Order: sequence, then structure tokens, then C-alpha cells
Amino acid sequence: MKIRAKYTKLGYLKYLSHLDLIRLFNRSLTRTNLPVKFSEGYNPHPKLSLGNPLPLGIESMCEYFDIELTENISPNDFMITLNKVLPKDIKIIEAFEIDEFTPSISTSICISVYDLVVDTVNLDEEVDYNLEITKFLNLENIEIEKKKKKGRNKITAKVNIRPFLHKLSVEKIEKNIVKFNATVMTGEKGNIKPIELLKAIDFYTMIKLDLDSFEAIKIDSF
Amino acid sequence: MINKKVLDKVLKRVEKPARYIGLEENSHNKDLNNSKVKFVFAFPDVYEVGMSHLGLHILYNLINDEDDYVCERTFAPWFDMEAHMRENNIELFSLESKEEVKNFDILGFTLQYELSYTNILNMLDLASIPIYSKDRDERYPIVIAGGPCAFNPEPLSDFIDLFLIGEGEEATLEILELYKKHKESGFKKENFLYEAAKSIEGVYVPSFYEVGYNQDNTISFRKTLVPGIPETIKKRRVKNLDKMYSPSKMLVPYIETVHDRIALEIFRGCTHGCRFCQAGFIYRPIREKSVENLITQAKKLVESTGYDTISLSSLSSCDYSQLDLLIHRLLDNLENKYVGVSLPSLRLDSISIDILKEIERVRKTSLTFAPEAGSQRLRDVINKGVDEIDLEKAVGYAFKEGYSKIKLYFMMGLPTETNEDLLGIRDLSYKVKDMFFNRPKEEKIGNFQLTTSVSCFVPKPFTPFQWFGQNSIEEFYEKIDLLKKTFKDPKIKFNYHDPRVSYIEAIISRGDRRISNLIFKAWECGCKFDGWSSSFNFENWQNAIDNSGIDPYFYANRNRDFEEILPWDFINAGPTKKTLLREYFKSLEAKKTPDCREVCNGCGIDNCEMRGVFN
Repeated sequence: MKIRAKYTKLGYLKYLSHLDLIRLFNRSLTRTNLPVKFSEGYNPHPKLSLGNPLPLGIESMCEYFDIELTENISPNDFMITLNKVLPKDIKIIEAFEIDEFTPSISTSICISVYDLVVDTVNLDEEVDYNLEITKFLNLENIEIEKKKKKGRNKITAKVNIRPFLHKLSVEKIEKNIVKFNATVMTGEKGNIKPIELLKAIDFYTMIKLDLDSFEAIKIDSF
Repeated sequence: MINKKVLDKVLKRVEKPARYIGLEENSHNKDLNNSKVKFVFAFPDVYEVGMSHLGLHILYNLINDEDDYVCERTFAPWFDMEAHMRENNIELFSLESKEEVKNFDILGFTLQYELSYTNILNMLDLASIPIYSKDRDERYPIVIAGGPCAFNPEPLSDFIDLFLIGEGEEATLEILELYKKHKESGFKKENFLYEAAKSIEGVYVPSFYEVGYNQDNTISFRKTLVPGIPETIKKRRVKNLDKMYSPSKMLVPYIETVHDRIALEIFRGCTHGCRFCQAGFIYRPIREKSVENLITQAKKLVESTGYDTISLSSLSSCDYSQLDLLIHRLLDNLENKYVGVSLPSLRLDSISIDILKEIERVRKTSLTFAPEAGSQRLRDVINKGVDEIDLEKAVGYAFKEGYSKIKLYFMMGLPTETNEDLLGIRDLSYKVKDMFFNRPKEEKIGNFQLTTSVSCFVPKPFTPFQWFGQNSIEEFYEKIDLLKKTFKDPKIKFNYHDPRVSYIEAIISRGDRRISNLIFKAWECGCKFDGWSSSFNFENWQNAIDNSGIDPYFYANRNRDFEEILPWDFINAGPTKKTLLREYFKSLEAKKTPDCREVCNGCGIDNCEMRGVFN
């Protein structure tokens, strides 16, 4: 059987890379007695597939992986058993059965909702945050530089991210801290990283940000 | 505690931020304020290297298993992190509590290789702790050090308050207990150090000793400055490994480390007596753990870590007396978990096809052999008891079992070495290659690749070659050129070590107290991470040598006189100086000394566990 699990990635563990996570899940599965299906061949490893990588340094309440098992067990038991050996900041919060017709994680989940908290550097100037964001959203072209691989070389290309930005709002302004809520595309068909969005806001609007200070958490994905 | 918000900002900008976060599986989360002695274990290299060191895992669990003590960890931050730390005023901190290292009671460095010494100074500086021992009062942690390089502690004697010579499982707790007692009754650094030097075997406090020098720079005398402390420091050794503390847990790093697997220590010591090998002399005698004990430990470690590979760790794992049984039983117990067993290095003479068959039951690894020298004569000089037939047999087994990637390790600059011996390295390599391609077609499995690595010999204290002068850098380069020209086969990769690195290592490893100044000057010149070819800077070292006024030839290249007082003579590492001298002379005649499992050669260890058992 196949199970899809939704998990968190919080605290300092936001600094684990995609490969670190795969190794963590592999080790954790070994520590349980779950009937994990292993690949055949030279280096057997659990049949596990993770969704699109979350950028390093971003927390999340909603990451996904799929796992193949050799026996049928209840997804709830799977969750309880695996959670016993997972670190406290990476826990499964939902698990359900899927079949061979279920679309893969990367095709079925391509929208992410982020909370972004960042320091502003607008000291004396009066800036109307909401107006600035409205004007930002009215832009047809929001170009940012993205690093891309072209063959063996890495190149920077200008990309218009406006089509990938679905919603953006100012949630809270407190002293020099602003909190945004953003709904963006994440996946092969279009992708915005939190830092890219903040850079664009900083560049295109009067809202000037201390980009090193940002904290981001993915609160929903679908 | 450091400012976590600033830390978070910094972590977003550095390479591999997970090096600095801690929180690994099996890490401890004890309350620093509720512990009677706060110990921080410092590894003077980057996280991935330090976490691959078995001693760290042992001491970490040993100390944290005690209610009164807490042990946290710190590593040398990589260049990018150091720059950000200095810029943002973040002091060196522990991974667990993110507490400044300065606020711990004891800071313990492990000395695994000499080229990490500049990192020790840099870490002290990053921690805002005075680098010189004499400049530190009760406001700072006691700085201690142990590990293999502590067998010649003198080059670090200006910086370290207290050394522990030998195995740490018992003595570490004795040091902590003494510290606790002193802390309860008003801590005085001087008093604590004195009590430790007086009452704990294996403890060496350099400030209680004075060394004098002759005009020719050699040592004229050594004396104790306070009464009641030992003139000779006897190394600590654990008598019974089965009764010794062995952790059932290991920290599991999130990021990939050098040895990303379980290290199961199967024995200590080694019986071969290879004359270049310091570990083979200082860790004598051999002491094995029982199969029963090892199986129990392995099961617990797999359960607590989830690792899929167990590495059987020791100085020469094929020597374990019941290796077949051990591997067989390990795999029987763990195969359903897809756990594999690996051997770190294989001795040519003791590998059997059965062992190869067993290890590959789950997964295949590449095989490494270390003939060390290219000719039989030179292998006899260094007392590496293997011959060409052993190599042929071992490689033959390996090919038959489908291994196609082989690594061979050699050294150059060994005593009595000639060009003929050197060219033997090429001959052996080509022989291995030919053996693969001369096999019947259906037995040529896989893509053949041979890597021949040659390192520059560094004479070490407590070995029979401790009197021998190292080859000069120029001599090493000539030898490299000679060899390089002869390797012209794309199937054979020829690697060699940087002679300049080995030269610095040679100066430090047999150095005396005056080398402290060199290390300080080197750090001032910007030397750090000297063991990394990417950051080793010979020019900086050259400047440091000039600034410190030491004569490098005196330390590295000169043949030492047998009458000379050597800087480490005051340490009793087990085998006597007479034994080492006897071995030195035998080596010049290419005479072998038998393995001490076969016959006791009388090396002089008191109460040797081997004596009376095997002969």
C-alpha cells in the first residue's frame, strides 16, 4: 500500500536540506518496525518520495511525502509509530492512503501560502503599506533575477513572477516589523521563493526591507 | 546564551547552517544551571569531521549519563561562519544550549592531528578566552586536552592547563569529580590543577614542570617545580573493555559527515608492531570486546540511530580473533533491517573470501589495502608483515567477488628507502591492474579503477622511527616526480600528499615547548584548518617559522641522537625506550619482529593483558 503523509518542518530544523530530510526519514523508518518497502539492487533504500524541496531556512506546517509499504496498516498507526522516532520539530500531522492513480505530490500540490515577517527600514517616512501592496499587485511585470542551470553552467535570467503571485496582503504592522501573507505558486509550472518576493517588494515599492531579517513559514499548501 | 535572533540571521547566510544547530537524534537537552560541572567538548575542526570521531560519542554519553554533569559540544566554525560571528559579536557557543563556551567550567579539546592546533587557538580567541594558560584565572574555563597527539603534549604546553595521556573513559570522570569537589569549596585553579596532577594517573600539568636546553638546542634537563607530582606520567589504559563504558546511543548528524554510520569499536591496541605506526605502540596492548557484548551493542545502536551501516572499528579490524563469527552473527541479527557491515581497512594477510562474502550480503563497498611500501625489503624494514602473495591472494578474492574498485595506500620517505623501493609502488599497482584484466572475460565484473595514494612519511614519537629525520620537501618532490612519470595508465589514479603539509606536521609532532610559540605565530599569520588542502597556506607557515626563530631542520629533518632527552621521554606510553631502540636497529637490517600474538617480544608494558595468555 501507499501512504501520503503531511509533516511539519520547524525551528532550527528549517536548516535541513532536502537530502538531509530524506536521510532523516530513511533512518527513522529503520528505527521503527514499519513494513517499509525497499528498492531492489545495489543499495537498497526505502521507497520514499518527497514533495518539492522547501528552500533552506523556511519553516513549514505542510510538507508531504509518499511511502510504499509491503503490508496494509492504518495510516493513523503509521503516523503514531513514525512520530515516536522523529524529532520534535519534524512530525507527521496527517496521513492517508493513496493508490496508483493518485497524482504525485508535485503535480497535486503547487500552491503555497506563506506568512512572512520582516524588519522594515522605513524610519521617518510615512508609507501606506496597503496602498503600496495594491500598487505592487497592479504591476503587470514584476521581474526578478533567478539563477538557472543551462547545461553545465549557472546563469542568471530575468523572470516575471507576477503570474505566479496569487495573493499578497499586509497582515500586521508593528513598530518596524511588517507581516505579509502571500499565496504563490511553488513547483515546476512556476515558483516564487519567499526571499524573491521580499526582494521584489523592496525593489518595486516604497516599503524598504532588511532582507536578512526575514522569517518565513509555510502555513498551507494545496 | 548568545543572541538567537542574530544567530538566525547569520545562519541564513552561511554554507551548511545545520553544522551549527545541534538538536540531533540522541543529543542531550540537560539544564546547564542544574548541573554541578559544565563540560564542553571541543573538536578543533569542522562539524562533519568532528562528528565522525568515535571518542566524541563515547565521552559525550559517558558524561551526560551522570546526573551531576553536563557535556555539550562545539566545533571550529567554517570560514564563512567565523566571519559572520566576528562581525556580529557572536562568541564561540555550544550546539546544545547555544551557551558561550566561556561560561563552561571545563573546555576539553581532543587532539587527533597536529594540523588542527591552530584551530584550537582560533577557537579560544573566538570564545574570548585568553589563549595562554598563564593569562587565564578563575573567570575562565579550565582548558584540558587529550587524544593521541597528547602523547607529546609539549608543543601545546603554553596553551593547555591540563593534559590527559591515554584512554579517557575512566580518567575523565575522575577529573570531573575532582572539579566538583573543588567547586563546592571555593574553586582555585592552581589548587585544582595541583590535586589533579598529584592524584589522577595520566594527568599532566605542564606549568608544574621546567625544561632546560643545551647550546645545541637539545633538552638538558626536566624537573618538577612543586613537590608530590610524578616525574613520569603514565598513560591511562582501560583494563577490561567489556566492563568499560560503551554508549548504547550515538549522536546522529542531520548533514552528511565523513563517517555517516555506526562505529562499533571491536578492540583497542594492535599486535603487529609496524614501526612507523604511533597508534600501534601507544595503544598497546590489544584488548578485545566479546562477540556477545558487541552484538548487544550493535542492536542497541541500530535501534537508537537508524543507521544502515555498521563499521567495525579498530586499528586493524581483520585481526579480531572471531571476526567470521562476529560478522555472521551481526548480519543474521540485522539483515532484515537492511543493515550492512563494513571494514574500514583490510589487512592483506588476514582477509578471507568468507569475510568478503559475508560483508557483501547486503551491500558492496570499495576495498582499501595498505601495503605501505613498494618492495618486500622496505616492508620488512617497517615491519609490515605482508608480502606480495598476500596482496595477490586478497585482490584475487576481491575480483572474484565482484569488487572492481581498489585503493592502495603507500608511504614515501621511509628509513633506508631507495628509488628501487619507490618504483615498487608502481610495479605493485600495475600488477593489481593486470590481475584484473588477465581474468577470464566473464569474471571481469564492473568498471576497474585503482587508486594509488602515496603519503609523505612523518616520524612520530613513541615509534622506533622517532629518531629518524624526515626527508626534506625537495627530496619528497623528487620522489613524487619519479613516481608520477611512471604512472601512465588511465585506469590507475595516482594521488600524493602535499610534502609541505607533512613537513609542518613533522615539526610539530616531535616538537618541544618552544613549538608553542610557532603555533601562536602561525595562528597570528592567519593559519587555520591546516589539514584542509583548500586552506593550508605554506607561505604563512614559513612566515611563522621566521617570526618564531625556531630551526625547522632541528625538529623535522635531523637524525636525532640516541642519547638525547626527547621532549616526550617523561611519558610512559607502555613500550620502553629500549624496545623502540631495539626495533630501530632491527629495521636498519630489515629484520622483522613477530606479531605479539605469536610470541611476546618483551616490549616492557607492565601487567600486559597479553602476557601469559598467548605464550
